[in-house]
Order: sequence, then structure tokens, then C-alpha cells
Amino acid sequence: MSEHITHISVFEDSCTIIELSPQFHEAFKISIKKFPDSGLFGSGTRGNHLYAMPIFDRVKKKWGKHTDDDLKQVAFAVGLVTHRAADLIQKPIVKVTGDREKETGFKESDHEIYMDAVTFKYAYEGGTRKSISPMVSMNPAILETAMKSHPGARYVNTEMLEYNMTGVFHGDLLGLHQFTDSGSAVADLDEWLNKLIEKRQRLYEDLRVYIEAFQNPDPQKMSKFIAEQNYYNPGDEIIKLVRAKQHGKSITDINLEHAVELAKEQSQYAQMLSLSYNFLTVSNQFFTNKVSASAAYDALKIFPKSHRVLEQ
Amino acid sequence: MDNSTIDKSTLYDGRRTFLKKSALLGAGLIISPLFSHVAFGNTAPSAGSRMASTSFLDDCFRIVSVSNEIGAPIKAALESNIYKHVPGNTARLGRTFPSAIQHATSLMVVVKKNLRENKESNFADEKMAFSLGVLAQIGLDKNLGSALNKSETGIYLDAAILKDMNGMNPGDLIKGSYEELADLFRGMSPRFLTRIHTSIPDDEDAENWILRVDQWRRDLDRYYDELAQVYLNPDKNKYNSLIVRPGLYNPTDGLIKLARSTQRSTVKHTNISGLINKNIKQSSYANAMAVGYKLILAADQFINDQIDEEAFKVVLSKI
Repeated sequence: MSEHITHISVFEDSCTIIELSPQFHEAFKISIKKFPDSGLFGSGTRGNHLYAMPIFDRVKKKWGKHTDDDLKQVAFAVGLVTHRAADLIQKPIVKVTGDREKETGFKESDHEIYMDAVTFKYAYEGGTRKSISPMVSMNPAILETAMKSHPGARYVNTEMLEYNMTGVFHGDLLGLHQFTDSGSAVADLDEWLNKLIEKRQRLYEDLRVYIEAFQNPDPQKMSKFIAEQNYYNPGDEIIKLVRAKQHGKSITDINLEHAVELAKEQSQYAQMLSLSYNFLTVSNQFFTNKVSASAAYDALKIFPKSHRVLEQ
Repeated sequence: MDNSTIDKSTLYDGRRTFLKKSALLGAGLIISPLFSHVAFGNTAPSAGSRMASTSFLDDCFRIVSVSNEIGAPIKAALESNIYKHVPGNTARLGRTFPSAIQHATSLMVVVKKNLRENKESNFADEKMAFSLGVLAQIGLDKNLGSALNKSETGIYLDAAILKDMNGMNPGDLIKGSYEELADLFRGMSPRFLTRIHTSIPDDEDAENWILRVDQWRRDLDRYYDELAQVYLNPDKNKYNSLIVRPGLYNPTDGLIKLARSTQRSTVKHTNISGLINKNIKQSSYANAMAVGYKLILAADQFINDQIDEEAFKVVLSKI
């Protein structure tokens, strides 16, 4: 599975593509412009196969009478769709590394982390390109020990602060689940504790490995995971288009549809953007009643019956 | 990375039921107790306290770690590590449990049963760690609960604790830019989200969960600015009237000083009950720590059959 930085990056780049393309319904364009953070969080959330389509279905039926809450949910669903696209490209690739670990010595988790570090380096330009969410501060210090080069680090012991803030985020996130709001109605403590174990997030990604992969990458791993596999190529047309737009420049000699087609045979990152575009296109077609729910599920490669919620 | 623990979070049971429930619930009407003081919308005057509850639990666990009265299994269960999954990380989540005092005894009975069953699959150590956090939280609820719900007091309390942890006097002014500090806070969010890999949605109420997440992120965003401003440039009159005069937090209290020493260096094992029983007037925060410690000590004794359920209830009734 792919990692957080890559997921939010693919989401942000997909938002640029939505902006570039005239085909998308205003629900897509307005929602990500007005509530980019909701989409960004959606791109880092599980359950894309279940939750995106029902949101599109509900909001399209009330379009015209929609609220800001509906737009937040559409933006979130866009993030879920881009998450799915990134996963479908990356998962099979890193699985091969995992399957061959005994033979090669290279770990699947390292492969994923190196992808993230390289995404940070190229797509986020080492943390110097701003996030589209005003609530996320992209900064070169994001992948740095104790964020030591950050200007704010001179006021506080950042390791201690991060320890505290991690506890705040961790507990708050759990507190957003309805089961923690059961008040005096906790009927079965055993069941409540089991639910806790199911819902609590594990802090299982060691950030130090990400930092090492970005600050001091292992040449062998860079070669194996990135160069040999053509993970990222800034020369790919779709990447050039997106970056130019993000820097306020326009490229007139590259057609978006053509770039999407070319990307299918280009770097893995370009493939993620291409599939994301295609998934968003079919989501848009479903939203505008040009394709049925069944056709949209097929195109999104959501096949298990239990995941095709709208067909039940 | 430690990926050895079985993660049940990918179970899909109940995920589809969210749709029906979401359709029935009005958007954005479910609020966890943690967020009840801000509610939805952006009209609250201040984001209030966000850090004190977590710091408080950590401080309780710090004094437990140097106690000569509490056994090694409890201490081990409360050791947290933000670089890997350990039960102590879940202990820090104890603040999310609803109605802690009402369920405290039953919770310990369930925990003891789980420990006795000794099955790896029932996550007994992690449930125990969480429950110890719940017990400590009772101390905070009793001594500081109402203060935490006052938004400006909450911010001043968070800033005071953070400055004390940095070895500074909470009332001191610091020259600098609050925007830089707030930006540092904001930069910690993607690092946290990287640590957890992906967020687990509320399957029973997914569409409203999306709105709760959105509101939480907005509240945090506002909190970063408010905390940075009060941290660097506290209004001394407000600091005195909100924190000092009501006796909410005093860095010179024995238990707080011990927690800070434990944070900075190795501290030899200490008789914490002896420190508590000196009966010296302390801040509400230190009193809360004393309650948290007493309940964790009683939990240790209960789990090890040194006291029975009735005796545990007696300890609980006296706090």
C-alpha cells in the first residue's frame, strides 16, 4: 500500500488536473476549491471502495439545494477516489518487492517509504511548494529530525512538543468516533474495549525511516525502488502540466487528454495521476447521470458485491 | 517498524450500515464529549484546551514510572513510544472514555478477566494500559474539568504546561513571531498522519464523521494560532487571574517537579504516596496527579489480588 505523503500529493495534483479540465461538474471544482482540506484528509483515509460512490449519489440528487456540508463530503469523496487510484498502481508494485524479500533482501515497507520520500522531494519540491490546504504547512522540516530547521523550532523543544502533539492528534481522532460518545450508555465494557482496539490508530510507521530515506537515501534502495522502476519523471507530460499550473505558468503545447494517455506508459507517479484522472472522470459521469452506478463501480474496479453499496 | 501486532481495524463488519444511519442522522449533530465545548461552526470564542489532558496523563505515567510502590508490568504498560505501536500509546487515549468514574470498577474487573485469560488475541495489555489512562483521567475530571471547558483558561493552561516543560516560567514573555510557532504546530499534522499511515473512518456514521473531522481540523487550526500567541506573549494579568490565583497549575509543586525531572533525566525510585501524604497545598493539576496516581496504585493492587473489588471501590469513593 502506498503512503500518506504520496496519497496527499496525488490528491493535490489531481485537484490541479480538475482545475485544468473543463469536463468536471462544478460540484467537483467548487468542493475542492472551497474545502481542500476535507479532500486532502479523504485522500489519507481508508474505505474508498465503500464511501465515495454513496456520497456522489446523495449529493447529485440534491444538487442545487446542496449545503457546504455536502461540498465538504464531495471534496472528501474526491480524495477517496484519488487514494484508490494511487493504491491500485502502487500496491502490486510493492507487493512484488515483498514477495521477493527473501531472495533480494529488499523490504516492501522500505519500498513504500522511499516512494514517499521521493514524492516529497519532487512533487512537493522538498517541502517548498505549499499545500492546497491552508491547514497543512508543507515545509522542508517535515522530513527532518525534530523539524530542527523550522523557524518555529527556536521557541520550543520540538521533540517534546511533537510527543505532546502526537498524543493530542491521536486521542482527538479517536474521540471523533461515535462510540466514544456513548456517555453513560456503555452497556458492555468488553465490547466497548474491543471496539476501541478496532478503532484506535496504531502509530506503527517509524518516521525516522522516512527522514533517513529523504535526508540520506541509500543509493542501492534509490536505484532499486526509484530509478530502475521509473517511479518519478519530471519530464512526463502530465507531471509537467500539473507543475506548470501550480507555478502559475501555462503550457499550451501539451493536451491534457493526450498527457493522460501517454502517462499510462510513463513513470509510476504519472500512472497514478492518469488513473486518478480516469477514476475522477467516471465519478463525474456518474454524478452527471451519464453512466449508471454499476458501470461506475466497474470502471472504478470495485467488484465485490458487498462493496457495491448502491446496488443493494 | 513494528508490524507484529494483529490489526483488526481492517474488518469490514458494519461498514455498510453507515449509510442507513447517515441518512437518518442530521449532518454534524454528533459531538463527542471532547468537543462539546466548541461544537460545530466557527462561533466559539476560543479553541480552548487541547493539550492539557494528554500532558496530564503523561505526567501521571511519569510519576508511576519512578514509583517504588508500583509493579513492573504496570510501568511497562504505560511506556509510550511515538515511533512504534506499544500499549502505552493507547494509555494516552484514556481521556476518550465516557463517564470514567461511573465505570471505573467494572472496567478494572473486565481488564483483570482479560489478563487472566492470557490470550494474545484479546489485547489484554493494551486494554489494561487504556484503562489505567481512564483511571488517571478521573483525577483531571474531578480537579480541573470545569477549567478545561473554559476556552481562554484552557489556552493559558496549555501554554503554561508547555512552557514549564521547556524549562521556562509560564508567565515569561518570549520575543518572536507567533506565526512561526503556529506554523511549526501545523507542520506536525502531516508527520502524525504519516505515523498512522491512513485514518480509520467511523463506519457506523461515516458521512457525519467527515464533518466532524473537518470541524476538528478547523478548531485545531485556530488553536495553533491561539496557543502560539499565548505561549510567546501571555497577558500577565490574565495569566495571574486565570491560572495563578485559582491555583490551577504551579510548576513548583512537588509532583509536577518530579514529573519534569523524570522527563529530563533519570530519576531514582521514589515513594510517591509519601510525597502525596505530606498534605501540602498544591495546584489543582498536582492534586489531579495525586488522584490519578492513587487510582493506578489501587489498580495495580487489584490486578495482583492485594485488594478486592470492594476495596478498590473504597479507594475510588475517597478520591
